[in-house]
Amino acid sequence: MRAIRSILIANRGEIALRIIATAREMGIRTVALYSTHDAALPHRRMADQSVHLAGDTLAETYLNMDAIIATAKQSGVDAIHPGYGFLSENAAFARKVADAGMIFIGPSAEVIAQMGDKITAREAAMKAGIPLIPGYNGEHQDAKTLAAEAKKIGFPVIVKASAGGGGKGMRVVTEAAAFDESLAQAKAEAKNAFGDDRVFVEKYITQPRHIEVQVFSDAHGNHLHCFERECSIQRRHQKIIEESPSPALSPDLRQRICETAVDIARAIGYLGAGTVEFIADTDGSFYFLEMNTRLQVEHPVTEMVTGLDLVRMQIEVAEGKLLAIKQSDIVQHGHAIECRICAEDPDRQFMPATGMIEMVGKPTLRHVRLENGYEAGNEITTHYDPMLAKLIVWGKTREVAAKKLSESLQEVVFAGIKTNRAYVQRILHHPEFLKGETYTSFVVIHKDALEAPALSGEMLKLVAAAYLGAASTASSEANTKMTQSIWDTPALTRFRNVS
Amino acid sequence: MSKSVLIAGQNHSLTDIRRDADTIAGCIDGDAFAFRVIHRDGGWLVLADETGQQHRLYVSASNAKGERHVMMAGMDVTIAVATRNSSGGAQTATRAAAPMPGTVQAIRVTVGAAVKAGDIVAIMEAMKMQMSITAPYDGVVRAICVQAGTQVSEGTELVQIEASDV
Repeated sequence: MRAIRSILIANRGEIALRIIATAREMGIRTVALYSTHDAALPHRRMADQSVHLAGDTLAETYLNMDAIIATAKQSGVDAIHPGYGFLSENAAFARKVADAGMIFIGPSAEVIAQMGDKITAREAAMKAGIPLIPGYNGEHQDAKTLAAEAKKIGFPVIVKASAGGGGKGMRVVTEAAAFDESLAQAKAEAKNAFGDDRVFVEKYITQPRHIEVQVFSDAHGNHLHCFERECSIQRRHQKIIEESPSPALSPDLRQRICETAVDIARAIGYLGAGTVEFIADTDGSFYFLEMNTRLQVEHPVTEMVTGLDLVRMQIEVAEGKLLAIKQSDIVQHGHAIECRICAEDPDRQFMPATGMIEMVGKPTLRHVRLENGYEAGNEITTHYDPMLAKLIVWGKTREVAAKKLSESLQEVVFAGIKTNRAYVQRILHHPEFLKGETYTSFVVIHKDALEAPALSGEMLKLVAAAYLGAASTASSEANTKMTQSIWDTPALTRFRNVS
Repeated sequence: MSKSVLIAGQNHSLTDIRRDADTIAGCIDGDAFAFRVIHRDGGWLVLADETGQQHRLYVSASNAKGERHVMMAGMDVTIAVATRNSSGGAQTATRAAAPMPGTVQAIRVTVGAAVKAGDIVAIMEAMKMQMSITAPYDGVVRAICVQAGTQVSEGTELVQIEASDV
């Protein structure tokens, strides 16, 4: 057992703020890091101490293991919390932290390495008896073998190029008769795209849902789950909306998936917070995809339905404490939905957006959490992930939660920068979403319906009126410009009272 | 006094009739409108229509391109005063330039080719995404400024297009 009285947060933005929030509740001293680009971000000043990481690139700053560990040692912190992304699943970093005599808040370097490698992760899953997507990824590339393997797997199957992705060299085959032709096409395409015509064959899940289970383990062999999240609404494998509970699971299936996730945590001797990701089919079958050995972006969804503080739990198990709760204590209550607000333009192929934030806005309804890393005056560039904030709501039912999220999203405007908010609204209002018909192909299948609609006559008038109204404010502002204080500029208002 | 405005990429004619602390009245494409100003605070605006229904919205400051964004009822609408170079498309850019740092993957036109506003002139790769760069107006390709494979910074003109009078 080792008390953690101080933590260095090796991250930035909203997750740094999230960790600082729990640390404050626990009376733990925090040290934040900031790059030159991030000097004005709120996470810097919300910690007890902030240290500058010189450099322009990620390699020089947030991915700079040696600089971060040197800073941690100099600050005399007990532990380092890596957040998500960045160095959170870097086994070398976890090892360096431990070697430097500090606690890495997460699992061991060995487990990180094991689950970080696709092959060893699948081996671990197989060994634990966890179902994997049936497939053939062998040496024999002749049509006869591949056709036989496809038959063994059971149609429909998907033929995928081994050398690369992006949809090239991929063919879905729904029946045996079409296999040879599709295989030939896939191989030709793969040869053309990657110079390598090797393929593997997998069972094709027609209506896949992304179901993930939050697991938690302590250092005393206790492993439990905090139920599941469904994250099927994705665009190009980037999650947009996450929720809990999943509208697709029966209580029995939920229990089986969650217990399966715990089985794998137990099998690998896991420690801390982790997420086991599965792909679920409509027939009740589910298959292991991968395990993320860190806290996930969408963890607040689980927190809002279970009432747990996952960051607090991470710190406590890292201290060597026993998990304070039993599996039977954890219950899902009501429904939580999260959406990610990203700096991107949905009307221009989701091109990353840049600019200065003029106004964030505040949600006013109950049971709404805004996990936001930026404030008015902050400059958004393409140096970092385009996710600006997460908006999570809790409602008694899924219907209430969806409506509440839509209302709250209208309040969090993020003016000054293009965001995906209107696109998310269109998803939240789509009848198939409201029915819970959420599959990983959702945004592709409903692409047309999710395009920005033409403005109605009434909307057009409101927009026109708003424009005229703003123009009149602007002209009167221009007239009083010379008398206005420079401290009223959004970027400088926080200095107004500094003497 | 009426002017041409681009709202969500479409041209409209907007006439200013009355603007004071309590009222905003105007005409768009010949349709008159009048709203009562219930509340105003920076960019926040609450307008009541003739039925008494109140509408909450936010209007952002004018950006470098002279655009404002109106956020309301789950929509984000871009509005700007229309210029000669603006086409009916959603873009109000005046050059076929790199919108952000990235790599030019392909140039789709040749010198001398006639292009129409919205035609794809180049493909770029940035942030692991492919994006199309389109002609901002009708014209003729005068020069290819960069070759495929070149890394470019934001604002680099990729294809020089001479506008043809419409």
